[in-house]
Amino acid sequence: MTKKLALLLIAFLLSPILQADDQYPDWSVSGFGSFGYVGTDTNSLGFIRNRTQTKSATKSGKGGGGVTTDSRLGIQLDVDFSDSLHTTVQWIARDHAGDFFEQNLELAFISWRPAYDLDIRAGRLALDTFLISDHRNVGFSYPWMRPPHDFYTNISAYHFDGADIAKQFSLDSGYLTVKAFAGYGMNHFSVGLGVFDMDMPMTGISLAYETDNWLTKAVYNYQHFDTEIPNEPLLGLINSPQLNAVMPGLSGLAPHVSLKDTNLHYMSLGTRYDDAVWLMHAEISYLESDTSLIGDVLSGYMSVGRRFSDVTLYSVYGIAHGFHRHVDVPTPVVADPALLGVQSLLDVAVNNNTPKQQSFSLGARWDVHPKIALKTQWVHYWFEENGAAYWRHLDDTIKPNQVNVWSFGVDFIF
Amino acid sequence: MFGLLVWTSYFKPMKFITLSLLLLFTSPLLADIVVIGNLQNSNPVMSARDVQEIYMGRKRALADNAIAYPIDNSDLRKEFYRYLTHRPIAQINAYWARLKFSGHRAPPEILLDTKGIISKVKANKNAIAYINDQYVEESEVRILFVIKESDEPYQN
Repeated sequence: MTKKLALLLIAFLLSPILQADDQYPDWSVSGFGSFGYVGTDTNSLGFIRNRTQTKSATKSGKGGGGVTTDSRLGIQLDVDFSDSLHTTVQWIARDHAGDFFEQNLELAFISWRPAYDLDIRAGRLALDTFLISDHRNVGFSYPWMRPPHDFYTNISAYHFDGADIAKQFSLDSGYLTVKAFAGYGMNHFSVGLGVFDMDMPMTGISLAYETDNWLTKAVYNYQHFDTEIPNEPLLGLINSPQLNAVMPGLSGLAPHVSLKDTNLHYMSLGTRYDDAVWLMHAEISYLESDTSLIGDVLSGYMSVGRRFSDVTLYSVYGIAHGFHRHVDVPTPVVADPALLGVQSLLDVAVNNNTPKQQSFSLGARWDVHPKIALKTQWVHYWFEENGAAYWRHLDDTIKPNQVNVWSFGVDFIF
Repeated sequence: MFGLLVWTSYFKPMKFITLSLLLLFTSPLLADIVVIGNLQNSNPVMSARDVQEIYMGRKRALADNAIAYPIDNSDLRKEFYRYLTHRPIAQINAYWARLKFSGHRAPPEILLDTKGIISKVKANKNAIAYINDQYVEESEVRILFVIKESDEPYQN
């Protein structure tokens, strides 16, 4: 698939050059970056930006913080072959599970604009399912240290290989863009059992209405899991005849540790207001899942900011609430400590994947230069029982119900 | 007479030179800004809203549905966007960072010198740009919109 993509790109890259006029090809190199430090006051939960990250800011038993979570550097090549044909390639150095070069290739597409109001793109595209899902890495473009955790940690796929078509309509005092997209996502995630090589066909449609100060977007996105999470160790336990003899009904847990051939349906509505002084973001999403391993999740956030010259002060409230039905793990017929340990392990595996968290943030952004912003943010999280599903579980013997996260950093573009 | 005495008592050569230099270097900011297009541009004139929407990437087409090619002037960018959008350049850069690095739309090309801008507008039928009014030759380019030095920032 990757080779086909590369050949497609080369073919497109070469053909227009042969017929280029004086102005074209016109190319440019630009980029963006963030360097940040994030710290927490817990030793048992590891803070991550999303599930693609291999390292959490908290280290087991050490607490403290780290610079990996909020740091990244992106570089982008844009080439115009004509006023309607264009290509973009973007690569980002960041902490990402799986192949470092392939997974961090964020964009690699050809776009064709046959008419001023019609865009067709093919290649590797950013996931445009939510208000800021396609520019999550570009910290300079938003006020926070990172996209709201309660909402965006669960949106782990950054990109997919496929195509989209967008038609723009002039409507009243704004512009309505209707977009349809389809493709195949190949994203690697870091899960408790190892790296999940997730292949998933996906499709969706979005409506975005934009005026001077407002952008409102509604999206439906369907995804299907073609591959399985690395659940062999769990299945080995669940299907063990010896264990089933002492834990009757254990094999019935198998569907609860599987993702393959299940579906996800994302429905989201978001809006952003920015009048140069006041800044507001609000977004709500419902994720419907076939599998109890993910479960249905309702999430949302609201952020309000006020600019005072070059400084923006903001607050964010966020919530993620999963609707997971508790799965009973069979109790061993013999109260053997080893068997009780297996029961506890399986209970964590099938019942600790549902988020039940809320957060409140206060933060500031200071534009010290037209292309450089300094930021800081404090976040307080509340968890319901077993609700810290968006965190790495470093020590399950301690389950805090509140955690503070503080961070500071710099975002820039060039 | 009294005024002259006051003036001479306040006159300081260094202050005068400093002020003169300041005026010299800021003089482009004190003139009118004109939005120009190619002589074949399909828009006879443009409104402030047209210019704003093209430069913010929302409106893409000229009157004949050709794709507009906006050009930024690095010397006048701050005043131009302050007039059109009330926003400082950091906000404009953040706005375009979102669109550019998500692969949606490219920001206007930023050019450094007025001669280069005029050449580009003359060479591209769909180009629009903005320059200081003192550099405009109406035989070379078409004036589409004028931002007067005294104009208040545009309100939608």
